[in-house]
Amino acid sequence: MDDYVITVLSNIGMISFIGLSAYLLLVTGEISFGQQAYFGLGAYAAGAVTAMFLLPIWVGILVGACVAGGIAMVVGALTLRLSGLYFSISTLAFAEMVRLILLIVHVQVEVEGEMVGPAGAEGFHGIRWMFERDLSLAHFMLLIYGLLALVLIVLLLVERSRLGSVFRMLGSDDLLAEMQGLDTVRYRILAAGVAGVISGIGGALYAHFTTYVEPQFFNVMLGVHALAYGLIGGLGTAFGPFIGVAIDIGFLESVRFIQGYRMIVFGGLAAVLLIFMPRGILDEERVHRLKTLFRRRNHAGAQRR
Amino acid sequence: MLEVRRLHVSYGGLRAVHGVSLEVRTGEIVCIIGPNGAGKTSILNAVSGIVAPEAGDVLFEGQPIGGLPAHAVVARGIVQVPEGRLIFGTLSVEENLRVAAHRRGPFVLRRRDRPGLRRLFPALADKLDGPAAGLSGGEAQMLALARGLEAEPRLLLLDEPSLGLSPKMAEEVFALIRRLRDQGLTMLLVEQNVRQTLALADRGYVLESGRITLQGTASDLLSDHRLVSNYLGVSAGASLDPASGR
Repeated sequence: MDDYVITVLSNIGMISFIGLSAYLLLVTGEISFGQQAYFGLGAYAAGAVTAMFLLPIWVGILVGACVAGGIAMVVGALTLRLSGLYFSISTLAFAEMVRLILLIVHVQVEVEGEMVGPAGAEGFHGIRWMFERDLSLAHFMLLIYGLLALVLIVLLLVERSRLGSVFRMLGSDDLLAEMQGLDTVRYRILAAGVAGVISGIGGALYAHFTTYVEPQFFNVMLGVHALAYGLIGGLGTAFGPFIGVAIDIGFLESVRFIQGYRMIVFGGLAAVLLIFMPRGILDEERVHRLKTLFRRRNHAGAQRR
Repeated sequence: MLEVRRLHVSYGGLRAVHGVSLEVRTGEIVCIIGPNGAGKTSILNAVSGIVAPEAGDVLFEGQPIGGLPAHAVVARGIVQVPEGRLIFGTLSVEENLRVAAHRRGPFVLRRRDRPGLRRLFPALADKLDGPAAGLSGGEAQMLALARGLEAEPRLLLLDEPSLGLSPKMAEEVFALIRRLRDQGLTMLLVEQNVRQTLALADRGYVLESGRITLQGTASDLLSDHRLVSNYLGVSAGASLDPASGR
């Protein structure tokens, strides 16, 4: 594989984290325009751990995930009593706040004769953990997909458990959920925290893949894309967002002649899909039909044996 | 088991329940009957924590529960089966049930054998994996009931379980309530289907415009001439003349 293919695949992998993050909140009925903030916080925190404190990358990813998840839970506790549009606006406002704060944060330490750390609008350079260890892009891609698989497995297990049904129930009727004995506020904060962790892991990986991050990257367009992945790919299963990411980065990014028109094509595609498939390609109904098909085939196979 | 004292419930200044007192003893079926808009559902909602009482006390086994959030009331063992068969259509039948099993923690997986369910709700047991949206009206009501039981209630609040069902389905719902009583479940039942309700209840309260106008054992109420003339004897006239329903 050449470096271009590896880069595209790695981007798909890393962006999938924020797609899954927004997806989880969509399932619980919350439209967040702010998941890019946790991606950014995860990137800065993880970068600081490895580049400024010279700790191993797994510590960086862990810290990035925890910082993003912790802040997401605090923000969640403050905003989740808001509903609908008000919630969405508050997430957007918070994300912009984070971005603007990162634009002025200047914390640098001297590491081996060089100043390393967030430098406001110039970004955070020198997150070179991967290159200092002679890891190839392909190796790092394996790390990305390993973690992505781990997150996906956890999400799929959650979806199969009572917790998954609870999350879906929050998305359709809060009062009815309360009547089933569910502390909806607590479950919402939990969902926000998990979504923050997922986004933070993506950010932590991103910082180490590109070796530098700047606040500008974590602007609202990243959050809008993250939402669109779930909405296009489908809200019926955690596999949904991957379809969205694959369409956006995998297809549109790689087809040369629409390169300059990517956003236009993507926006139009999102609009068309939302009209004809309001809950995405893999919505609950199609997922259910696929499951039935799968179960029936398994059943038939078992009988033949 | 449940004691409601001088309960007042208001919605934005409009008072729906005026100083209602009632009691449910362990093992009883108590019903609240009365016309539309009398405040029957408001009483249930105040007990289950959906609305906060404006004034008055709600005691469950001696403990005040008035004003607790709904999920905390469920945790104490009071479960409301809401009117209108509110189920989650996008979830499967089994998932609807699983959500309500709050005593089992968040990580319960799908349960394959549900002998209890098969015994009480044979129609549902065969459709566990189908989407709840695909159920008929009667099946959906059965699911709402089954879901209520899944929360392992000590007191079940039933809000118009026969509403909108065919007479045959309504009969099945009442038969089920009878079986639940025989298993020792305590129930507070709100209904408009007066004759069938009084036939299975132990005691009843008649609610009109937010006040209790009559109360007594079900057999006393069935033979009360005011109740008979208002709700039972004049079904044809009532539908022609709205005033006679009062």
